[in-house]
This record gives sequence, C-alpha cells and structure tokens, in this order.
Amino acid sequence: MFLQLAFNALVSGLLLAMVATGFSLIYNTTKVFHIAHGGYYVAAAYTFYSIYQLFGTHQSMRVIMATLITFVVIAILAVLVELFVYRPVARKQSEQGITLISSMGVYLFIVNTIALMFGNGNIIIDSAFSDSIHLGSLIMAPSQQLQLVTGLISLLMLVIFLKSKWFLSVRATMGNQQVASVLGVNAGLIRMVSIISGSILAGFSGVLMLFDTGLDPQAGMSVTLSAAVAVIIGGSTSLEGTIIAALVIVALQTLTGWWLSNEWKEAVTFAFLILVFFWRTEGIVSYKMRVEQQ
Amino acid sequence: MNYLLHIFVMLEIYIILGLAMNLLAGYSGLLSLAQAAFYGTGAYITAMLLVNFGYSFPATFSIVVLVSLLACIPIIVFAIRFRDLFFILATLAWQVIVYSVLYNWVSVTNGPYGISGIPKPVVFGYSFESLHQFALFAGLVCLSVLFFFYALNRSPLVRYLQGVRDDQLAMLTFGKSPSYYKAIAIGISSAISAIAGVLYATYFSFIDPSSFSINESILIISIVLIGGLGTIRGSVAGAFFYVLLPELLKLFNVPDSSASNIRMMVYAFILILMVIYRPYGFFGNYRFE
Amino acid sequence: MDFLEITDLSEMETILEIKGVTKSFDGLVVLDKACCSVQEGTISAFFGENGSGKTTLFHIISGFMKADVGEIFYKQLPLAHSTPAGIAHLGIGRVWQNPRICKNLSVLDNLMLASRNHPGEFLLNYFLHPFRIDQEEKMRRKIAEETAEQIALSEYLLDSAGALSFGQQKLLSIGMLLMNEATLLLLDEPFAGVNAKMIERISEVMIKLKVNGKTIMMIEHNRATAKIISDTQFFVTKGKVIEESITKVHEVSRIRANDTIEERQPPIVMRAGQLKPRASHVNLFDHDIAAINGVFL
Repeated sequence: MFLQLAFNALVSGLLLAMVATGFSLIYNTTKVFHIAHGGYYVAAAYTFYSIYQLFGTHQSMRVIMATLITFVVIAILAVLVELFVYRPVARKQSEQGITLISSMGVYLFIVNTIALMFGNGNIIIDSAFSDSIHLGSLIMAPSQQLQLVTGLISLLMLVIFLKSKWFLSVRATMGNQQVASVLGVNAGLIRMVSIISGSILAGFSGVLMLFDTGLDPQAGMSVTLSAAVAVIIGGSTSLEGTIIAALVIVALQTLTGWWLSNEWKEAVTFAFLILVFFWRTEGIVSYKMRVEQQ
Repeated sequence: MNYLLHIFVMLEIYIILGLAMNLLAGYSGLLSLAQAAFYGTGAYITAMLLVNFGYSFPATFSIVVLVSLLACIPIIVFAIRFRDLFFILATLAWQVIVYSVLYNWVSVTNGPYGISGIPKPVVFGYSFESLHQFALFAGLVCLSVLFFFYALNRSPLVRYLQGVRDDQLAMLTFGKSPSYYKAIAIGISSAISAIAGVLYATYFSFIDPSSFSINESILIISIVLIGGLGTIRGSVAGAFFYVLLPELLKLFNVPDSSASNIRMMVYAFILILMVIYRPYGFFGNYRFE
Repeated sequence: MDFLEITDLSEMETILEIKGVTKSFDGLVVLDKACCSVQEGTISAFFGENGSGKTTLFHIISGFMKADVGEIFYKQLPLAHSTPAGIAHLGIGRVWQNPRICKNLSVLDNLMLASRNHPGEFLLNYFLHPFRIDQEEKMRRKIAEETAEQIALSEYLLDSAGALSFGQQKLLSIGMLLMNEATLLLLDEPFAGVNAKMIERISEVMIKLKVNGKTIMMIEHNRATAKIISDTQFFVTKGKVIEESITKVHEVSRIRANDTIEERQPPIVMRAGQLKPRASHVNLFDHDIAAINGVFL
C-alpha cells in the first residue's frame, strides 16, 4: 500500500518537476514571475486534444501530429507573449510585482480564450494504449507508465543539457543580461530558447495529464503555484534543487491527501511555503544587501 | 430601472474594494493579493452571524470589523518581515489558504454549497428590504468610506503611509517606524474590504466561496492599476471601468454564455496594455518602479 | 573680510565617545577597537580610503548596524537603543550618500514628515486629540517653511522632491534633519556629486548649523573643502580612527593613534581653533581663513 502511494507520488512528482523546472528556466532568464505558465499547461493540453480528435482513428498518426502541432503552437505562444508582453514590461524596468500582474493578465487571457472555445468542462483522453503493469503489489497504470517515461526522458535531457557548454552561456545570461551580451552571448536568443523550452516542459506535463485524470481550463493555476513553491524552496538557481523540491512537495501533498483529505492539499502546500519564507529569506533573492539598498 | 440600481450597488461595492486596495498598494506600496480573502471573510462572518446566530445587523457589522482587524495580523507580519516579491507571494499563499478554508470547512461555512437566506440590513428598526432601499444603504456606506478617505488624504497620517512606500530607510532615519504604519494601512484596508463583503452578502442573500478566490484578488488589483494608483479618483474610475465594461460589451451583442469569458479577455488585455503603456492608469499619481 | 573669533575648545563637552568598537563582516575586520571622541558644537571630518570603515562606523552610530564589541556614548550615556528610529529620537540624525528622501512627496511633505514627535504620527491621537493635531500641523508647517528658506528651497516647497536636482535633494535631506531637531548630524559625503556653487551653499548651511550649537560629523573625500570648514579631522584606516589636525600657519602636526581603551589619555593635540563667524557672509574659499586658524597647546 505504502509502496503504491510512494510510486504514485514519484510519478506525480516527476510531472510537477517538469513544470517546476520549466518555470525556473523562464524565471531565471526573464526575471518574470511567470504565473502564465499555467496557461501554457492547459493550452497545450487543449491543443493536443483537438488535434487528437481531429485525426480520427489512426493511433500513432494522431499522437505524432498532435505532439508536433502542440509543440509548434506552444512555441509560438511563448514567443508572442515574450515579444509583446514581457519585453516591453522589462524595458520599463518595472518592479517584480508589476511583472507578476502582467503575467496574470496573460494567464487570464489564455484561460478565458480556452474556456470560450471549449467550455469549462473537463476534457480527458481515454484510450487504452497499453495495459497496466503489475510489479508485485505495485500497479503501474498506463498513464503512469507514460508519465514515468516522458518525465524521466525530459528531465534526463535537461540534466545533460545542464552539463553542456552551451548552458554556461545560459547561466551567464541568467546572471546579468547586459554583461552577458557584452561578452558576445546572444542574450535575446538564449532568453527565447529558455522560454520556449520551459513552456514546452509545462505544456507536455499538461498533455500527460490529459491521459490521466484529464483537466479543465482552470487546472493550470494550482499546478503553477505548486511548481512555483518548488522553485522557491529548491532555490531558483538550482535546477536539481527544484526537482528535489518538487518531489518533496508532491510527497507532502500525498501525505495530506492520506491524513486529511485531498481538498486541503493546496492549503498545506502554501502553508509550507510561508514557513519556508520564515526560515530562509534567500531563494529567489539570494544576496545580502548593503544597508543603503533596503 | 431595477437593472440600473443593480449596477449602482455593484459599483458601490467595487469602489469600496478599490479604495481599500489603493490604501495598500497606492499609498503604502504594499501589493497584496489577499484582498479577496478579507472581502470573503467579511461576507462569510456576516452570513454566519445573521443566518446561523440571528445577530442584529449593527452587532454583526461591528463584529465583522473587529474580526477583520484580527484576521489581517498574518498579513501585517508578512509586511514587516518580507520584502517585495516575498511579501506578494506570502499574501498569495494566504489568499489560497483562506479560500481553502472557506471551501473545505464545510461544517462551518457550508463549503461549495454556500450560505443562503441572508437577510437585508435592519438599522434602528428601519429595514432596507427593497432594491431601492438597499441601493440607498449601499450608497450611504460607500459615501462614508469615500469621506473617510478624503479626510485621510488631508491628514498628516497619509504622509507617513506614503513614506513607507517611498523610502522606509528615510522614515527610520527620522525616527518613524515603518512597521507601525504598515500595520495601520493593512488593518484599515482589511476592515474596509470586509465592509464591502457585508454589502455583498446582504445584497445577494447567498454567498459561496467562488466569489472570493484568487481570481477576485487579481481583479481587485487590476481595478486600481487600471484606474490609477495613489488617488481616490483612480480607484473610483477603476471600479466604474470594471462594472460598466460588460454593459459596453452588450452593445456588441455578445451571447450570454460567452459573456463572462469575453469580458475577462477584454479586461486582461486592457490590464496588460495599461501595465505596458500607461503605468499610471487613468488617474493615478504613482506607479511601481 | 570679517575678523573671526577663536574660542577655546577645551571647554567643549564631548558629545560622542566611541570606545573600542570592533566590527567584522564574514571574517574581514572592518573596525578594530576604534576609538574616537567628538566635541559638541564642532564640525569633524572623517577621511579614509574606500572601504576603510567610515561608513560602517556611521552605520553603527546611527543604529543600522551593531558593533561586535565596544561601546558608544552619546552625551555621556551609553547608546542603549538599538533601533535606528530610537537613535533618531535621541537626536542623532543621518544624511545618506544618496539622499534618502520621499521622491513622490512634495518638499513640504518631506519636511513635515521629518518633523519630530508630531502628534499626527500616532493613530490614537486622531481619536483623542484631533484638534491638537490640527494645531501642531499649522505650527510645524510654519517651521517647515522657515527651514525651507534656510536651505534655499522655498520656491520648490510644493514641488515633488523627485524633481529636484541631486544637490537640492541633498540640501533637502539636511533640512529634514533640521526639522527632526537632530543635535548630532552624521553627513555621508555631503559634497559628492554636486557643483561648486552647491558645495558653497551646503558648507554655509553646515556652518550655520554649527553656530546654532549643532555637532556635525561628516565623511568626505573632498578633503580641501572639508578641511576648511571642519574643526577636527579624523583618519580612518586599518580599522582604527586616528585624530589629526594640520594647520596651514604652523605646519605642525601631531598624530595620535588611539589604540586601546586602557592606554587612552586625555588628548594633547593641537587643534584648529573653532571658528565662530559673525552674522555676515563668510567666503569659504578665501585662503585667509586658514591663516587665522589659531593654534594652542
């Protein structure tokens, strides 16, 4: 029983880790608290769903087409938002609160567009593409198998990418864009690539949820907020920390579901966040400031 | 005519909410995402006291104000201990927690089923039963709040609140405590938001948690951002904009089912435009920078 | 050129005494048992390289930092207050390198904000003594207007403080200190980043303050100007404060290093005489001033 719970938590944790690392990538390069991340989560799911339905019966065909088109749509969406919202706001050197508000505007816009087109109900993909695998007392549902595989692959790719040379440029850009550009790093390009990758990570997490319990237009918000908590706790500059934090959070949520009830998961996550704030004031802001800079 | 009165009441409620938010964000520089939590607390306490316990309206009103002053203590702690983004996120967390409580503590709040049968206000034997009478009541309450803010603007106190926004270090240098003024701003703001909640509960006679979610908090902030921070005119303008926008959309013959979605889309779009191109909003004299 | 009187410094009282203050950051020792003594009604200048600890010393005096070891005595009483606001109430005021003023408020509002112990500061008073608040407000507004005259910002009274030039903002912060009735003023680089005319103006204000009995301690890199108007000069180096006076006439100087509390003896130092200008305008760039500096043992 416990094993099953732990396994479920692990798989969900991987999903959250995907969203969280995506969020972290975007936050680090744009310094925007990208609450619209949740918008990409649902947008990808709904795009995938529509294309999937469109292509009727041929199984592999519809999956491939849906994947590709979702990929493209999310990338385009990310680019548009970056160009027309985040860059102009950054130019005005706004405080972080204002960038957060602008991101919320984006979120509201995306979610309401989706609700307009698809209604507010739940969408889900029910195809049985494989059987459950039984490992002793452990049951791996088909959706979980998919999530496990996808999750591991994407995170693995991310980790490999982290060790690469190119990532050095990314880290430089994360630190200080102006300095990085002076050193010949194409800050704009890196920003764009990071944003697209981050959004795709979130998007595919949403798609995976399609095959699981499905989602509705509002589903993105709570996932994003949990992911944000993971980023803050794990340390925004540490992707490994974020992944571990995501697993911790899901473990916490699963325990809550086990001891209290499912509905309190969110509240517990946030109470945890506040506690972490009290214990450590680093994370997103991680330097000691001189007295005058208060 | 009834419809106009309905709009009027909504206007009063949102003007009050806007002014409360302006006190925090516009005067004191505290961008709190928990306003809907206080709005909701006010509405729920009103509902529970009037419906479940049969308290009189004046007693209920007083208790609501007192409870809101207690309920805002966590936010005060956040404001003193956390800076900038941390504060905003802490208020976000608080908002989610309060919503969760309203939604899940079914034994007390009736959860998603809400509380119904909330009576109209009765003050000194005079009952504001009809729509006309309630509109009068709402108008009086709103007027009092406006009057309060006009008085505040002309008093020395507003300087110290604005000092918290502009330069806390300067305040310390001259012997004033920023924490004290943060507490004052947050306390007054949550009490006033709770008053808006009282109006909401007694007007609609039925409340449920969905009106007090994080979305509502975002909306309240948008109202003052679009209307303009730092001025009374700004908050009022923002409230007008938010309440009258759907009416404008009706001119375009938008079907009812999509109306709320389209309204939110237009609103979000304008919010983004404002943030980028008009950070002072319509009538603001302060922008975050 | 007016004749200037010279007063005997030895009668002055010590307003600030720094004893054995040590402060380190992450293992780097910034102040090492520093000792210093400042006389009331004088202008002292603190010189030293960047990072030598001058600003840290000011932070500690004004309460924004706590010393690891050592004590500070203000008017012979230990500075028990640890909060900056508390220290401000004692009469120690601070002007920051970058003028900390409220940029979105008017000049008048800034001055009124700095006013000390205004009943309007406390919420309770609005219920208990509303009329007193109104009275005080009117009274203090007059004082603010006078102060604005002193710092030559009368025309800008209702303008937003953010619209002032850098030098004017510096003057405003000094004006705010006046409104706050500070008796010991800590000025962090008052002459930095402003033109000659403004330097003159700021110096005039500083001398006027001294005439009115205020004590000024300033950190400055502009040694020439600082030396002209200051009575005492200190060097902060290697974590210690060294008192030094050089006069132009006699070219005699004796540097005394204040090492430990036990070794401390009453200073036998030559000091520049305290200048007490008459009411009329003193031209600070007149080199004759230096010639009149007295020396006495």
